[in-house]
Amino acid sequence: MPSLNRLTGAACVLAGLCLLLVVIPDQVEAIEDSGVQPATIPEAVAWVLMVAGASHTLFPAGDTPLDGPEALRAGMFLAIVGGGVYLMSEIGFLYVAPALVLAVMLAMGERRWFLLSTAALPVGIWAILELWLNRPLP
Amino acid sequence: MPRLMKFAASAAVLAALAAAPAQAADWKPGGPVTLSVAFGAGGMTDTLARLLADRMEKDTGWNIVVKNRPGGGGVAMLSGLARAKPDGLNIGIAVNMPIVMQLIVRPAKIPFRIKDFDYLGTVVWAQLAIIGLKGAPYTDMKSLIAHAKKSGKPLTVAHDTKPQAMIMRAIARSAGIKAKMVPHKSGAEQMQSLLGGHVDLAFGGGAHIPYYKAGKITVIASVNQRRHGYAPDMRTLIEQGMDYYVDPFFYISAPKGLKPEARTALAKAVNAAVNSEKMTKFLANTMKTAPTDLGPADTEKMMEGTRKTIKVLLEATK
Amino acid sequence: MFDIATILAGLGDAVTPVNILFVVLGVAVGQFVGAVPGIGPVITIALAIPFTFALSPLSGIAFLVGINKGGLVGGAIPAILINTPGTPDAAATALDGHPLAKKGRPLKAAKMALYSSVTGDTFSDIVLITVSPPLALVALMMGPIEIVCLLIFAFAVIAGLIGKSLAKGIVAAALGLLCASIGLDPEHSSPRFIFGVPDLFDGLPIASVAIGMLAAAEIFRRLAAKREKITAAIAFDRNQPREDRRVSWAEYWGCRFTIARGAVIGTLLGAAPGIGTTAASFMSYASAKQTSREPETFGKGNIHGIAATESANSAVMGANMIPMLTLGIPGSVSAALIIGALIIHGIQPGPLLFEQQARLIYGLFGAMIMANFCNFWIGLVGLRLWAFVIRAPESVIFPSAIVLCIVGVYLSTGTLFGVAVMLVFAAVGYAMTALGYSVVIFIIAFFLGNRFELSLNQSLTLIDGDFSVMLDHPVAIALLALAVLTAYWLGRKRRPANGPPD
Repeated sequence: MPSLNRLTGAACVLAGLCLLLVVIPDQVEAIEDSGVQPATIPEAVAWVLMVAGASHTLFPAGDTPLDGPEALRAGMFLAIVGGGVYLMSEIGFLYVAPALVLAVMLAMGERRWFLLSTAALPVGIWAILELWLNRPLP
Repeated sequence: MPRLMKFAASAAVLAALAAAPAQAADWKPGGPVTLSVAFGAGGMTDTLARLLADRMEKDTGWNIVVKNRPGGGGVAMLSGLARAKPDGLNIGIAVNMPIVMQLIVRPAKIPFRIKDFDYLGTVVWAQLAIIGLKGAPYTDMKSLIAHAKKSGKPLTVAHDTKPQAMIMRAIARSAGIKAKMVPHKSGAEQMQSLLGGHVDLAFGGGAHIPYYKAGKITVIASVNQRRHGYAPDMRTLIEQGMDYYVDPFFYISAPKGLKPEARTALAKAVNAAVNSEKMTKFLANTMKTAPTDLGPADTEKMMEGTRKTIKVLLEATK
Repeated sequence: MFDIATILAGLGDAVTPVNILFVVLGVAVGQFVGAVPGIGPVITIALAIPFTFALSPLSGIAFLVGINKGGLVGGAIPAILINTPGTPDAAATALDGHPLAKKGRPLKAAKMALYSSVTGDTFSDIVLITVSPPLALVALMMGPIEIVCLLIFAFAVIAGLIGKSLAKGIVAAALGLLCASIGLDPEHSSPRFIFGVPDLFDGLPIASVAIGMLAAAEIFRRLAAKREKITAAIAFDRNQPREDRRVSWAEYWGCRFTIARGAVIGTLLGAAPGIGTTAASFMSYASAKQTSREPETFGKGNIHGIAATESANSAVMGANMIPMLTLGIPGSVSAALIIGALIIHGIQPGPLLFEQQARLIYGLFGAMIMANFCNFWIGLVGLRLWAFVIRAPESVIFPSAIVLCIVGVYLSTGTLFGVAVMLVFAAVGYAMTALGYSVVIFIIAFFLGNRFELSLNQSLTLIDGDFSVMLDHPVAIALLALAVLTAYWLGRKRRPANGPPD
């Protein structure tokens, strides 16, 4: 079973290959002009990724301090915040942000009601920016 | 020439106002008007927008919110503006050159066209000059070309936008000299390269004026259709026999389909703010020039004209 | 060149009660926003510029410069206390500041940061005031070819921070460079990696990437790491001995060479625009680590690490004013904003500035020195405030911090798209750390990527295949030689460490 560390190296080789063969031809224009081609740096990066990735796959060094359960929980918080940001674009900062703070606090396991009043903070931020500085929030 | 322009501009505005129905003055926005800026906070466009918004609020009593929407020289802002409702609550300030350039070179990637907008007016046109170091063996196009031919070495030219590079290429091609185009990020960086002797020529969009006054650089040509106020004896490229020019305009537009009375009211508010005392003073201080509002109809013509100018340049450099 | 009367009059202008008020206000605001995650001095200056219209030019500019200086000090505070740099400049401060705080000495770490920051700042201000005309020539000397070589040298020095795996460090740098290449290319303005999204035309927003990877990723990690009892974000021991809460003179003096080197690196990189504060602080950190007798203690709470970064990033700011005032060339985003403000106030930076506005400039210099004192005293008071705030439970600190990051990025980028990019890079940052790829190397490559590509393109155009042109650029050749020497030296130092496989 190859170690996770080795696998990341292989992933880099794959990413470099994909970049060189698919993404760059599709997303970078070739210019029929004198001067440096726009693809120069991306192509160099792709080659470096392949070479460094291959060398890492063969001779892995360093470590991978990945903590599976923690990463899953981090993903959950990211999903909560991401959902909140999406709702902000639909409903507005003023309504969503306090709920978001509340949701994150509850997900952390906080139940003390006097601390949950932190949810009022975004309202204060909103008041400062929108009412005083005249800078619109979503 | 500038006087004529100004006359034409105010005539156009007057005509538009006269043609508008009587209820024009009654139009009021149904909420805060968002003025989107095509560039980030702190730049020239941003400052112009804030001065305009401030004046328009005071004149009309509307609530005007300035919002920065940088990206792609205005492509990001106009992409959003084109999709917005034409209810008079969404207007945007941008610069014509980079927009039209992208529209011509890669239309497939730009989600809007020139005719997707209702044009409200312009704020000012930016002066652009070809400049060289004081003491260099050239002071105008003729001596520049003679020098380049004699030395046989390619001229190194700093630029910070594509049209600048195209103009220089077109000149080099028609004069039979060689030029190496060195890309830069801003006018200030071009000045750095020119003063440090890293390039032979640069384009000055305002950052060069204090150096001109300090006697450190020479203005070789005005790249606009007109000469510049700070150096009235420096001839334009056209006057020096090269039929190329660019006229970068700061202009204001709204999504297509404004009610005529809304368009008239907005254009009137823009016009009053552009010609306000504060704007006049600010432009005299910074760009050494005067405000120019072409009015709705001529702004649209200007955009079409810009398209032709750039097409000509593209042909000349093909 | 100037009569002493003008200088005195200018300095006199600086110490009017109104100016003092605005300097104090600016520094206080700057330290506050610097210390709040997500909201930095740059966006604050952008927000504050309209307010300065109502002030006299001197008060207005002094206020903005105060925000900038305060922000550099403030940014170190959350970096040390909760490992989320308030500004990217403070990313290197977290490397040693946070471990020291975790060892139970947060106040000592924060005070070391404050002292070295003020020292570095004062040094570069003195350089600015006394020798800016000759140093302005440095900026002119640095053409495209020199900048490329300077960047290569900077990369070589910072390479000393690549950890156990060289390949992983190189991958991180390559990924940073790749992300920097998104958007319009510098030579032809053709879009790259846009995927049909117009928001990407100007590239990934720097604020989104920096805040996402440096602050938000750490906040998510802390949120996720919390499983049992909710405690304060960092433990403070009220009864700890005095020497653990303060920095003694002996300790400060012991860091004198580190601070001096940081101040010199910061000043030089500030005078040659284009490199920026973040890279300067990492260069200073890397060289402090490489020249230390005990490099293995770096990253574990060595006060030299804090001193190196904070003296360097603060020194950049003063020196940034040299090309800004004498040539009108901004060395950073905040300098660009301040140039905008100067122009609005009718002051044109450039060759005539010192002749036409000498009194104002000396007033500004006076205000800058004053701001350094304010930074020191407000910093000491502010530290107590933050130490108090940070005693709040984690369940208050981190949810608030994440909302502030959202607000800060939204203000900087103007779109929720920018916020979404921040969340994506929070995930990228988390994943890179979890898989052992250096976020720091990624960020530096990302920050310098655009400048590197532009300067490289410029240089290749100028050289045009004829490398004998290089002979006209002795500075570039010297920088390249230094880079090669550094790489060689680093390689020799690596070998014994890598020798016996473990």
